[in-house]
Amino acid sequence: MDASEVEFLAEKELVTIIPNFSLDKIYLIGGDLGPFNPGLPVEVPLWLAINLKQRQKCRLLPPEWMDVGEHPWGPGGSGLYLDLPASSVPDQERKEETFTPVPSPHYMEITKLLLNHASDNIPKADTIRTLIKDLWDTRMAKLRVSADSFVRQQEAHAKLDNLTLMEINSSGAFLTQALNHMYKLRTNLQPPESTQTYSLT
Amino acid sequence: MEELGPASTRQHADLSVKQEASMAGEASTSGYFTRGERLGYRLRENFRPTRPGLLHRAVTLVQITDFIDCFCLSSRRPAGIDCSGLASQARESEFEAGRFAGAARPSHPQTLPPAAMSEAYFPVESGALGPEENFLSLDDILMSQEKLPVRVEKPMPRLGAFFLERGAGADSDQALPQGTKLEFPLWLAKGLFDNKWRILSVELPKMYQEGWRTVFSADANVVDLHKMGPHFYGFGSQLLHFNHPENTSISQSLLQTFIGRFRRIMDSSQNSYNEDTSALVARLDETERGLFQIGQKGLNDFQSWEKGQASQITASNLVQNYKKRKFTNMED
Repeated sequence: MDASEVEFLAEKELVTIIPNFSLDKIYLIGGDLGPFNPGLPVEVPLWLAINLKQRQKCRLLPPEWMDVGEHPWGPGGSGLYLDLPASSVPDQERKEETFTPVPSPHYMEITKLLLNHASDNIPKADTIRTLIKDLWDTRMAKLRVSADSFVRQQEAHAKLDNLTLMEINSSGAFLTQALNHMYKLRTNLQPPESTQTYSLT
Repeated sequence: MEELGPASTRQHADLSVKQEASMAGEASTSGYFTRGERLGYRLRENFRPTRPGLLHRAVTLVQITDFIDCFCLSSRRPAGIDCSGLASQARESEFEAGRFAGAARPSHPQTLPPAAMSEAYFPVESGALGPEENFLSLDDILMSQEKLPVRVEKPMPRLGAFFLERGAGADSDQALPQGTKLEFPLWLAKGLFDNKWRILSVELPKMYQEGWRTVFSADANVVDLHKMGPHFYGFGSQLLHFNHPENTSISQSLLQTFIGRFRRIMDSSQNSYNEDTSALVARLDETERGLFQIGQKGLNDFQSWEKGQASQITASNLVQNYKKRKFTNMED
């Protein structure tokens, strides 16, 4: 998969916008998009939000997790992980050895799109960029460490929770090809002398 | 798929008939042709180069290689003529020929990577690590070129003329006496090796023997695998066909070496963006270099997406190649 294909899939995520035009409910194949009234927030897919923003027809609201301040519920809260502010997540990620839950399954793509097209609507855009980059680097490093230990111990099966598609896509091709090679090297001795006997009669 | 134009669909239809023929031919007569014929066969079956000169050049280069091979069998690789240089030139000519031909059909559809349909040329991947090398894979052809020390078990009549310096010229029919030690390329050794007839007995090259195996198990990262024969893993896997008593330890040592070097290849390939990677790649063998390139490709893809280049519209590879072709046609 290309990174751009992953971004295409990520653009289906819903974000909140405040339009400055009015339009009745529209019925698309993927679902209905609610009536647009100026000044009233409405949830739309990201692709539409970016398009409207580029045409200067709306104002984007940052998702809840894209926020730098302290959050009243700490990490020990009950199942409120999706609402963690971006600032505490990289620190948490560093502490844990396994992968912690991410703010959103497409955090990289959403961040990139929103910060590129709508940075005026998002407070503290630079800090968020840095934090998300830290998060990405930490997670990729963890992925490499776990891939290495997987290969070293020649495990047959691995399970990784909380990985996003972009991370899998960036490092997946290398890992699968390397594992292919390992498999061939490992089963070298087993096949019989097979088809290769030239009889010199 | 949407980039294929009408000209290439016509090529598709023409190639499909030849495809059947080439697959059938491949199954029955592996190893029968000379290597020059093999390469020419593959080029003709898979490409329609609009510059026939290139095809001839590629085939000629490999035929020269064969010619030199037959008369260079006894010379050591570094001191003799560097045949692999010619062969890799032939390979690059083949790449050029493939590019000029536009969209060509892959010769092994099941190994086609799904995201790469915009490429003009799909190389047949090497089967050397597995039970049998791929007849049509260029990597395997280059790999089987490497020399193997061999001991002749039965006297070979009239071959003494080639190996005068081995002290075999005394007999009237110039036979190679039994017990002569020679160096054969892998393809020749594999062809002549037989359990029943026992014409040859194969000795392991240095780097697959006990001494080097200990070095690999101590620390696999420091070894320069490119110098040790650029096809370390492939050659080692094919060596297992000769039923040497040390086979199990060889195959384990190959696996452990790969595992030991995996981490470094992964880190270096996924962290060096837009830098000169020649220092990193210098000590890797061909298999590892392929992996390195896959890692680099993933990294470059991600970085170009992040910079926003992924949404810029650029001319496709195929269209640029068509343009090149027309321009050089105008030159001639």
